[in-house]
Amino acid sequence: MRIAVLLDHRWESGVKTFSIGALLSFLNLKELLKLSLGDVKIDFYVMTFGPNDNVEYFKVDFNELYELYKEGDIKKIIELANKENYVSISKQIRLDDILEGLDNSDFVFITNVGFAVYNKSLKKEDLDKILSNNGKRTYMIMFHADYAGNFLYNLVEFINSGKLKNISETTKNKIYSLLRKKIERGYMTDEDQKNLIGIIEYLSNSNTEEAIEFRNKYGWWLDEVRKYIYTFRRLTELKNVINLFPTYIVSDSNSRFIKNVIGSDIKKRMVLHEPMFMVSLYKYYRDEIEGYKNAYLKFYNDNKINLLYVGRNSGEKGIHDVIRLFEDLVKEGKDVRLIIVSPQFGENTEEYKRLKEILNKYGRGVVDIYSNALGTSLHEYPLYYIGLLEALGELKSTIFINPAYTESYGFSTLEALIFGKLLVIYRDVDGLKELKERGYLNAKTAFRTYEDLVNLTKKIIEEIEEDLKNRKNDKYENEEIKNKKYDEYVNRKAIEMLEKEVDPEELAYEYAKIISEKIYNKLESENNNNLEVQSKEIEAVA
Amino acid sequence: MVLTTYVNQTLDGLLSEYINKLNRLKGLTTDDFERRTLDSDIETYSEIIRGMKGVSQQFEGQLDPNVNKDLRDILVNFISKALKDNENPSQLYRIILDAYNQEVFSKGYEALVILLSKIYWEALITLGVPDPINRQKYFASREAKETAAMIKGIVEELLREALYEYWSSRGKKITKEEIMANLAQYARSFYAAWEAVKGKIVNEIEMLTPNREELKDAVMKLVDELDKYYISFKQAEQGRNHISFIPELIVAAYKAGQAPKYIINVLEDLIRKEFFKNVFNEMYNEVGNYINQLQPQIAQYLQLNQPAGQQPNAQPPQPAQPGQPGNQPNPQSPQQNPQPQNQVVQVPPPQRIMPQKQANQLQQNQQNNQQGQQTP
Repeated sequence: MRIAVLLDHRWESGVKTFSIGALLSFLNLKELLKLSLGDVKIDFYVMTFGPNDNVEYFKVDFNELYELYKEGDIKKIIELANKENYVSISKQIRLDDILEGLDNSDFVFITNVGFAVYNKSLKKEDLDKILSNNGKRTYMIMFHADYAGNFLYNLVEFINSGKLKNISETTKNKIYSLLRKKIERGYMTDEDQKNLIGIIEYLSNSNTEEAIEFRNKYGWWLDEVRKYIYTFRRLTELKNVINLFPTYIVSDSNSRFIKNVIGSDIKKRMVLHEPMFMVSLYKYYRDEIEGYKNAYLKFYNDNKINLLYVGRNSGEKGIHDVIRLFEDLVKEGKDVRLIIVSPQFGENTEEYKRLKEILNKYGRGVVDIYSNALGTSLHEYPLYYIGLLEALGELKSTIFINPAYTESYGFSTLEALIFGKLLVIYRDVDGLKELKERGYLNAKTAFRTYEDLVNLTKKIIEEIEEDLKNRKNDKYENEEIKNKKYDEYVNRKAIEMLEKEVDPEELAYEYAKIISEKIYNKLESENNNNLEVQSKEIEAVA
Repeated sequence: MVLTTYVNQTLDGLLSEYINKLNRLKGLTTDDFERRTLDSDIETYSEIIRGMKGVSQQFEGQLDPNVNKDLRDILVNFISKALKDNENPSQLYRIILDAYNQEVFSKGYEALVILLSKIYWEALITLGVPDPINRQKYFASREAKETAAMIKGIVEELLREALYEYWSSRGKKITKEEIMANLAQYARSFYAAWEAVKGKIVNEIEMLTPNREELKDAVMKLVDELDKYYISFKQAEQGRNHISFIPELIVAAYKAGQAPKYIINVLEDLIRKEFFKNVFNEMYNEVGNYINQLQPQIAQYLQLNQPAGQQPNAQPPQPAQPGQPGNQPNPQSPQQNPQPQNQVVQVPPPQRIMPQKQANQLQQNQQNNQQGQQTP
């Protein structure tokens, strides 16, 4: 049996994080399938951006990764995947080689449904070849985002950028209204999705001044949206495909969107947690992490209230709400510390400058930034980051804030829960709403509007201050009473279960189940055919 | 017997890993056919492991000179010759163990290729192919030939995979089909590598003493004898009173399960656990302990029977040293942490921004502190 895996490593985002976790799942999957079905050949193909943003393709030496896995060298595997994009254990190949490799496989796992988007080298006919099987192969394809929600937020950002001089108030209001409704409800209704499609079609085809200007400035974006829609269309036509989603909300939103835009359904849907490679590191390197935790405990052990933001420096992720919240708190006299963990948060960004202004204006507050752009990244060696989360969790004076406007799954939130057991304040949308419904996030710490965020944060800060006061006065001997308020917001039991559910090695069993079902069905039908032939032979002889 | 304990523990551990995984897969499916197949997988692995464990039971006592008189004679001969030449038998024995560890077992993946090539060529020789080193032909019994054919069938698939992996990792372009078509030829050099260890041991002995022939003969008899218990079966005569551990293990697995695909999984996993190296060291350690035990008795006997005026320079038996016979096997352990627990280590600090006034104040305090330290 042959399995081909197409990994999309072009973006430093959840898509890549998922892909690294999936690698660890596939290493265990090889082991599991081997036990029962014999040696399984797994081919790993990786897409990365080369010079001039051209997409380059590589074939990874999976056996070498498997040997490292058997030796328990998880750090090395993750380093090869995360830092190197597998360069030292892969060879560059042509797109045609991938097409041939996929064609020769029984299973094709594509880690990002958007693999054909922002990919000039992949033509429509190549996409047709990749997604066509005449029922021969089985596909598993991962959807990472609520695409309708993403497209809507892209439009909001285009308007907010101020580059669209001719955009009419009517169009603006339509778009803002859709966003407002999405935030109010936590998802987009069919009607809202159809309205969004209407706006995109209008901007694509109309000859009004605003639509022509939009096409001149953001024609590239409309092209990419069309590629997504074309991929979705192919998926509705494809036989034997399992569409994987990280949450029910994302599954529901995408399938409705595809129906609304194409008119037909994607067939089989399945909701599975995304594998988190950090959990594997946590499992294999507990002692080393303990050392880093102790170091950060020393660094942050000053009884200050921390607000922790982890994510890209982008409006979609709600960074501006965090900065505004920080300003409102220090303006009111709160001496809080904002900790930002973000890959591109350099000194030249508007957001960095704004934070400096706030600190100088009010003369209080502290901001700590861990970022690639400043040479203080924690993700270069993820064990540091796990150590930091564990330390902040132990101090019980940190509020993790996720104000994202669109969040399909929320890796960073899950990490904060699993490693730090942190109190999380989050916007009640998309995947985060579902994490609440599944009991991982506390319903009392959800918010929708900025006003809710400010009020909720102030209330919780007061409660944590009460905890800190109790601790300082040593009023209670019992640890649980000392951290009473903080702990009430953390659903520990659910989080402990979550840790197991997102463990890549555990998720391998789920993938094994999907794959073996197909194989055993085939074996069973072959077995039945053989029995039929045998009984016919016996009858003939008789 | 430490060897039996180690072998049984390793095999039991492996089987429980398999059963846990297969049971979990079974728990995930409701399909009857799949459940039945997984049950039969569990049964097959259990039978294979049971069969393999039987070998270690049969092996028990084989390395005990109180039970195995042939081995006792060879050991007594070895110890006597060493003592007569004023050599410490334990140290001399250590030369043998070191040579195998250096030339074979320290070579990582290559060690696996050497072991499989050795078994593969032993099977070919038993089947009538001349030994590629000395061109000698051996005449084996029908029973030995049947066993050799079975071993060849299982090992050639493993060897093909191992050679492919070995050369691919060195950037060599070769296909599995090419390897299979020339398997005997490709395996020859690795088979020779195992045999060459004997040459290295001979060389060391020759450098040690001018009375080379007698001592060399005693050492080589011991090396050949131990080789037979571990891996060599090409000269196995009918009705022999010993078994070769590794080939017997493979045969037992095959007889128990008749399922090469499963046996290959088991053998591959054992290789990763350094099982074959550990078994080798354990066997040598066990024999080494007997050498330590026999040495004083033989020294005393030689002293009583020596010509007047000569004093043997024999050392008293040495307690086992690290890495010497008598040590516990060293199965692969989980990765060890480079740092001791609870130690505070360096972590990357953030870039900290604070109000300008506070930052200035902090800087001033630091300067004052420094000045204070400079002028006590």
